[in-house]
Amino acid sequence: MGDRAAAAADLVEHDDRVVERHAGGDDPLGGVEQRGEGRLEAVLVDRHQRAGLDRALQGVVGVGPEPLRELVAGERAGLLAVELVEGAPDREELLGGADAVVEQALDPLQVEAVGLQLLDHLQPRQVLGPVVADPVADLGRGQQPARAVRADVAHRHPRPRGELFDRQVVLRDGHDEKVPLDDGSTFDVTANDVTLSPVMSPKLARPGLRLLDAFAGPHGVDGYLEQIDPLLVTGECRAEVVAVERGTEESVTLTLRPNRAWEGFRAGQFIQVAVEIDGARHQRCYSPASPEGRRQELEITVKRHPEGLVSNFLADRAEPGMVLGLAPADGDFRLPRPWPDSILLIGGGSGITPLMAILRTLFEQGYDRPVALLHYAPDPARAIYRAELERLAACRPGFRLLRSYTRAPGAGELDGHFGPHHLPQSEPCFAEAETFACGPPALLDAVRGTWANGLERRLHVESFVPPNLAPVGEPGEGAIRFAGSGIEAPNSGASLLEQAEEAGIAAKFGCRMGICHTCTCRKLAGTHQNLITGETSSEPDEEIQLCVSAALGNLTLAL
Amino acid sequence: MTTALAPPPTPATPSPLDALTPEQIESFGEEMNAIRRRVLDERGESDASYIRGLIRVQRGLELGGRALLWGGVFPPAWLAGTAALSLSKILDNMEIGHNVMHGQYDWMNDPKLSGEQFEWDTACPADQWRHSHNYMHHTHTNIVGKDRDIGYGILRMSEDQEWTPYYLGNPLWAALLATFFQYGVALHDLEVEQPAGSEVDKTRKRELAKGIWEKVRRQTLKDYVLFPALSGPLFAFPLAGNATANLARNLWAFTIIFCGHFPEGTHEFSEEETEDETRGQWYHRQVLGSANLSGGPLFHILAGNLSFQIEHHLFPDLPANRYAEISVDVREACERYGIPYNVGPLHRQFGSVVAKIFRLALPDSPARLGGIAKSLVGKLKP
Repeated sequence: MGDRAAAAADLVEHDDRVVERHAGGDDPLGGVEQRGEGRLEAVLVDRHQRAGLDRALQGVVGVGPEPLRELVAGERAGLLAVELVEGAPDREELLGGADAVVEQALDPLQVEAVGLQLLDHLQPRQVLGPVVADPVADLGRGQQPARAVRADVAHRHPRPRGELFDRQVVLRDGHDEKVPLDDGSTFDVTANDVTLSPVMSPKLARPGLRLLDAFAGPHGVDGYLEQIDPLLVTGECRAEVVAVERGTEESVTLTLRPNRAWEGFRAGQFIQVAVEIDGARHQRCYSPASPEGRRQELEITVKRHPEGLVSNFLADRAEPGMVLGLAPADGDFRLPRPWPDSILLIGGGSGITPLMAILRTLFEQGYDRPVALLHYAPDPARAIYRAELERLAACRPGFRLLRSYTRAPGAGELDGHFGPHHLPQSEPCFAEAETFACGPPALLDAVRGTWANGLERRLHVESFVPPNLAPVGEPGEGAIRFAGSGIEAPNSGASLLEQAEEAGIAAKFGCRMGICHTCTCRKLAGTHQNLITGETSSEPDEEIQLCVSAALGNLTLAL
Repeated sequence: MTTALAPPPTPATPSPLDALTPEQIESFGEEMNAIRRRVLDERGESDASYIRGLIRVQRGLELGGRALLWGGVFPPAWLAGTAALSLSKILDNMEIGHNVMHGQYDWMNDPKLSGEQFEWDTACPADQWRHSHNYMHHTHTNIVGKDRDIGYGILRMSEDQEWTPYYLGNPLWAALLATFFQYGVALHDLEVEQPAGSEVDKTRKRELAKGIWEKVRRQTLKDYVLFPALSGPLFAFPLAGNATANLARNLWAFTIIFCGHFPEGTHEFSEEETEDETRGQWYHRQVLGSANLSGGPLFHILAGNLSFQIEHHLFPDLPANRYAEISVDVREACERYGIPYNVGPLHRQFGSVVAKIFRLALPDSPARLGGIAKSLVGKLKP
């Protein structure tokens, strides 16, 4: 940035005069453009910083995307978009310009980076705006993966609450993943690390749906559909339990059939399952073990935790016909595309579940390169998926299964807890393999300790900690994170409402004594204490009254 | 009896707030806290089933009512459809809407039953209701000058409101409010009787007005254009049915709600005497300012359990289906402490409200005029 800024600095004065001379003409940037695209971009960026966004936009958007096309080759486009965005996140014209930038960029990964940057600065709705058209049709028109990648980016960002969306399903399980392009070739979605997801447009595009909504009134069409069958709803994702298998004493495997609102997942990602226990919904994260791809059903395995509310309830009482809530799949811990040359999986306890999804996906789709799994369990009876893993090891020559039973030494190929001596040196060599580790904190700490000196970028880690075992601090300890506002502040021990106000957030409030529920807000994670009753709760995703709640340790609010 | 604080000065009557010693009030507060904790411990599956079952009934009545009114040209269909739709709106507004929006079912963590997000089948935008009712009314219950439910800005319901000739029309304004109650409630948070002061205030009122307009427009379209249109040339029948259902809900809701704080024996308070309240004093004021209605279980459900106004005001965020069982303990505690517990059948409580409306239409003095009117009304009551 240094010499660009310097180069820009001595151009700015000259360019201001050039621009002024050409202002109102057909090509205000004509003179400047001749200096070459790098200079132009530097000028625009610096002009924006010095004289405001208007001047920068004059040269970028005012004359349409043409001048941009000259600029937009590779990485500079992204940088330019980001700079412009940082100047004025609300400007409509800015989005037009950014859209043009993104349109023309050819490298999907770079487009994704731009998309993410834009999302950091803009409301999801504003980013979704340019993505409203059907991405599949765009692909068919040869618009390349740009829109497709943006769809993925938009999908991964949390949706605004209370909005009605028209679902434009792009691709999901059961649809063709090879999209024909105009020139006769096909664009293979899965080969390009792109998840085409249903894209939400902010308005009900189709008049029919709008009309139906007007008839339905405040409760929405779903409010009536769910009286007929809870799975019929379109705005909420739910799943029916179709099969229950109690494989080990400590675990239960559920097969779920999601409703139409389900959007699919990538191997390794997690979903949030909501279970109603004694009238209240409790949400927990589980990683489906099913392979990704054309699947109508999801398999999750739940391991009992000694004081776990949901795990014990499901292990004891889950039965076919039960309806559970689902939240869309999330997580960067997933099998990448294109496939790595060798893969190492390290799993302990219920951490084996996302790894099973990865393994099953690989084998179903014909992966033939070296893959190894280090599986840690107390003893063979409590090793989840043991039988299937042994079968896979027997019939897949490229698959190395290395098990260590920490309480039954000698029963597996390895012994004891994880250590560098457990790592395979060949087929695959751990130092070259893309590694995925998932399991209890102790295992992951040990793994992280071993991966160092540049190997970290090949290591992907997912931590499984049940909420009631999450560390609980004292009043006044830890930090409060306000997820919606992007602010973090040390926990002072005062009520959460007061702390939000201290942090400069205009939280809604009313009686300030715990009666009117105006200050109710969603606690995403952490332990809170009710200042009136003294009760504590570590339940994630819980509605709490800010004026009478205090944080014990770290806490994240949706505010 | 009610306390008169407005001029001309009369011999001071002791305020009911002072009837108990501070220790007694705190002890009463502790007993109320204990009741609350007990209910919170017991709250669970049965309460969730209750509200879900109720919603099921309401949606069924709504769909059934709309379907019957579609063929409303046939009198039996019209009558049944209008009745069903009236019940649907009454349930949706009172037992479901009012209670859910109080956060009584927030503990279920179900986004459809989140008090903060629920929207109801009436002209009033839910977020404005939450502000004017959950916050303003429940915190400042019956405090003249702060609780705008005393009169809704257009009626005189307390001697402490200064009389002006406008109030001669009290009964007429009340009748109009009852007939168009859903719009009265919709406009409530706008505070039309108080002109906007600052620029900030003006902007806020514009926002509120916009919200009201949006909701009213959607409701009007739904009830008076879209559904009637489904019946083609026979649109007049569903139109009349929808209008009647709305009117039925308005009158019923007005009746029940006005019985909550206005029957003879309820008290209003001044800002001074309620300053710096403790939790115990807050509980005490809630009992003194509220009145219950007696009746059977079906009556209570249709009344949105607002027939247990005292219990509702003590515990606004406990599930309303629990009020009946709580009322036994609350009444018993009130008797022990000597706190007046105001309860009566609908006709008597509402009768005294109507009498009050007429009585307050006239100035308090000459006192004789008031006395004569009161005794006349007393002779008419059973």
